[in-house]
Order: sequence, then C-alpha cells, then structure tokens
Amino acid sequence: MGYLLLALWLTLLPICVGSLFSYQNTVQAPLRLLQGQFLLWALFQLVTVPIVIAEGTLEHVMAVYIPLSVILGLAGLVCLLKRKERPALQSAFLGDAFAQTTREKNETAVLLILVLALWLFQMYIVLTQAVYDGDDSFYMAVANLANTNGSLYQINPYSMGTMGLNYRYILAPFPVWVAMLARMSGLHTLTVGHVALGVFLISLSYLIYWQIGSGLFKEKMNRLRFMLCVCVLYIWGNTSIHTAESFLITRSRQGKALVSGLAFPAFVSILISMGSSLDAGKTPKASSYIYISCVMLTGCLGSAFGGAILLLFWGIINLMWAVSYRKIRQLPGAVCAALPSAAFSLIYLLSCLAD
Amino acid sequence: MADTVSVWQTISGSGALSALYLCAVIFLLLTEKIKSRRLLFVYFPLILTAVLLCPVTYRIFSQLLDEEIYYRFYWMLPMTSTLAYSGVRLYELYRGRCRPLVGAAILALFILCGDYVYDSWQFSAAENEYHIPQAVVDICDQIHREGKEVVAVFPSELMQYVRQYDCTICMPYGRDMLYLNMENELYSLMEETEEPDAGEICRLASESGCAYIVVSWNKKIKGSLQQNGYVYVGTVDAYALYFNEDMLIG
Repeated sequence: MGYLLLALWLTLLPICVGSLFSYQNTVQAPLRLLQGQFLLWALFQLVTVPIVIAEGTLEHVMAVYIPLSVILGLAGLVCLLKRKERPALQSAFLGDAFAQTTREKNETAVLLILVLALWLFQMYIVLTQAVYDGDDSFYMAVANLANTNGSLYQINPYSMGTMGLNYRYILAPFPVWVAMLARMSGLHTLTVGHVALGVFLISLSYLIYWQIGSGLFKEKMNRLRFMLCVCVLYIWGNTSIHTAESFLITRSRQGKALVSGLAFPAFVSILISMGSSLDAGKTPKASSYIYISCVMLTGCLGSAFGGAILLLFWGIINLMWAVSYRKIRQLPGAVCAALPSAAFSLIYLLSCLAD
Repeated sequence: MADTVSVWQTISGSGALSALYLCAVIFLLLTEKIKSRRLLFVYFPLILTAVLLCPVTYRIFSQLLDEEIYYRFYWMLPMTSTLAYSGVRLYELYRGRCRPLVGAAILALFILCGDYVYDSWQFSAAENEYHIPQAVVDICDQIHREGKEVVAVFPSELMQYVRQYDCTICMPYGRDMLYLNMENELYSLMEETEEPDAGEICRLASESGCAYIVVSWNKKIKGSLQQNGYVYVGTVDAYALYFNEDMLIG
C-alpha cells in the first residue's frame, strides 16, 4: 500500500501538475511529469525553508505543502480534462512515424530492447544492492529524525543533543522531502531513500535525457541511439566518485544527486529548447522561464551550492545569448526566472561569509 | 595552477573519458551548424573550463567558500549530453554497410574510456529492505524502548547506521567525530586494537549515560564489563550487548 501511494504521488500528481505548463498544446506525458515534478520540488523548497528557519516541524511542512500540491494537481487535472487531446504516453516513446522500413523496424526493436535492458539492469541493482556512502549518516538521519519526531535540523543527527541551525543544510531541505514521503507512505525512511528514490530518480533522469534527445534529434530513431549512449555513459561514467553519474547512482537519496543528476540535465534540456526558439528568431516561451525557475529552485532544494552554480550557469548562458544573438529582449524574463533561487543563493553566500 | 589541475584530476579519474569529451567538443566545433548548440556544447564548456582552471578563480573561491566543493563547478559541463550527441552525429555521418559496427565501436569507446560503476567497493548485496547491515537492525530492535531514548555506544563500523535506522537510540559520539578529527576517550578505547581496559570503558560509558555497550564478539578486552556495572544481555549477530539499567533515560 505504501509503495502504491508513493507511486501515485510521484507519477500521477506530477503529470497533473505538469499539465499547468501546457494548457494550449499537446505535450507528451514524460515532459508533463518532469515539469510537474520540478514545479512540486520548487514549491517544496519555497514552503519548507521558511518553516525550518522558524523552527517548525515536519507536520507544519506537510500541513502547508500537501494541500497546495493537491490544489495544483486538481487544477492541472481540470486543464487535462478540458483538452480534446488525451495524454500521449504511448506516442511519447513509440510514435507512429518511428519506423518505416523493415530494417528500421528491426533496428528500433534492437535499440529499444537494449535501452530497456540497461535501464532494467540498473533498477535490479537498485533493488538488490546496498550502496554505502558515509554522508548518509547525516542526510538519512536528518530525514529519519524528521519522520520520527517531526524535528527539522534541530537535533544532532550523528549522535544526540541539539544543534544550531546551519544555513548550508537548512537552505537545501531535500532530506525533509524524503521524510515527508516516508511519513505519507508509512514506509521506513531508509526504504524510501535507498530503494524508492533510487528507482524514481534514476528513471526520472533518463526521462530528462529523453527530452534532451528529443530536442536534439527530429528523427526518433536517433533519440533511441542517443538514449543508448546515455545508458552506457551512466553505467560506465564512474571515472571518479565526484561525477554527476556516480552521484546519481551511488547517492540517489542525497540532495547532491538531485542537483547533479537531475537539475543540471533538465537545465540543459530547457536551454536546448530555448536555444531553438532563439535560432528561429523567436523569444522563448514564458513557460520555459517558469520551468527553468523551478529547476533552479530544485537545485537549491538539493544543495545550496548547487543552486548557486545553476544560477551562475543561467547567467553565463544568458550573457552568451545576448552577445551572439544581439538581443536583450529575453533578459528581463531571465532575471525574473532567477530571482527566487537568487534569494536562496544570496542567503547561502552571506552565511558562508559570516562563517 | 597545480590546485586547479588536481581538482580536474579528482573528477576526471584516468582522464580517458575527459579526453574523449574534448574530442567530442572539437568534433562539434568543426561540424555543428546550429548556433545555440555551438554555444551550449562548444563555447560554454571551453570558456568554463578555462575559467575553472585559472588559479585566480580557485584562489578567490577558496577564500570565500570550502575549496573541497570546487569540483562541483564541473557539473555545469554537459558531458554526457555532448558525448552521446556527438556519438549519434558521428554514427549518422557513416552510411556504409558496416554502420552497425561503427555504432558498436562508439559504444565500445565509451565503455573503454569510462569506468563501470557497479564494481565499486561501495556496492554490496542488500541484507534487508533498509539497505543497511542486518546486524544494525537486529541490535537496534533489541535495545529499542518504546517512547524512550536510549544511549548506546557502538563500534565504528556500525555507528553511522544506527540513527539512520532508529533515531530514538542516541550515541555519545557519531561519524562527525571521524571527519572533524575530534577526540573522544571512549571512542579511542572502543577502537583500540590492543586490549582496552573494561573498567575504563564502563566508567566512560557511564559518564556518557550509555545504557548499552555494544562490542564485537571478537574484541579482546582486559577484564570484564560485567564486573563494572554492565550486565551481559546476549549476542546479536557478531556483537555482544551489555546493559546497565541505571543509565536508562526517563
């Protein structure tokens, strides 16, 4: 029952919420899921940090966040039902124009089998292998404390006693999100962190790369080829313990994995889409700015420093766009999109300087 | 410069995949016609890498923040996307009969230059649904008291899992002590390779309010914990549990 509830919360709700991004046009279910999930993470960041600073509890976070999420979900569901087109989950991956000739059909089948096999292999590892990481003694213990007695960053997770609010940690309350999922589902915090999140976040990362592939290639077969390369690069991407791929696979329950494995690739996928608009001489859509703002806030949720780097990334790219396209029309939108995460990053930098 | 190169080496490992990434960037520099993609996959990474390798950047950063997290700037490089994109583009260029072989060669190159993540020492067969050692689960279940906090001292190989599993169990020291290089007499005794004194362990454990002392069954201790106020309550997995009722909180 707990797993079912978790599955619904992490798939159906984001798909509904993501429909708010695409009221007018037909958007495939994977993109809706991604946009919805990033919006929900952004909302969680905005709700949780003030509550943690005010020394509130997990119950306070849930009392504000869950109703807001459900309202967004219901609003998205209304948008979804009002549209004539239905969610195109099947066509998102296996569209009609996927393969023309027998040879293409065979190649599609081989590529699909390979990609699915590599993904399933990773899921099997997530379920059957424990991954050690010493930092869990902080992050998972913080989540467990929040789940058990509602306390948010007030008790020393390592041993006992109280601890002062450390801005480096409280500005990135991803463990609180893990605790909330555990509380809602009734599963142990460790089961949620090590098993459910491993499955969910690694799969979500592949969905993001599917979006990147879709932005880069018109031909659907190439998207599958791209995904095959991504799967291989993920599994063989452990050149050190610090790579984005290693972080996502070995530390999926920690916020740093959310930044490196999801927020950065999502950022790239949006930049590709916005870049295409600029190449066509158009100004990127407002929804792209909202989406990128959500991704930056998600970066803050995962790691205060990660959020600051995303902000830097956004700044550099916008400067490059302004210079090379000789257009500054997109800059006001870019500044507005950056403002929420800039506020968190500023608090983080000031707290670092104060230390 | 040495510092910035060392950070780069820390994240790139053998450097083979990074070299391949550089080749991919050069390939896109020569072949990519779409402006936004040239900016994202070619110019941005080149500028960023040049800035990050600059010693001044590193010096400024290390004065403001913790230099240990400098490597995270490299997450901005869209390495996986660039390699996969270039791989597919390269595959597309070749239209001959041996096309599948070209595809296989590209994947083989990724594999040869990369490093397989699942043979890392960090992976081990999961012993339970929590993905922590079963000994921790069994010991914590044994000493857990409903509605009460219990203080217990654990050997270092277990202590980092305890509060992840059950945060009503408190400890006189935790993993933070290890990386903050803090000193703790009880920890030193518990981890001593030569036979530590049972009386000293019990005295320090009592001073820290420990109701339980958990020691490895193989650990040799001079004297007996039982003669110093702690009662042997049993063995769980490979660990012996000693209990002092006077130390229970509440």
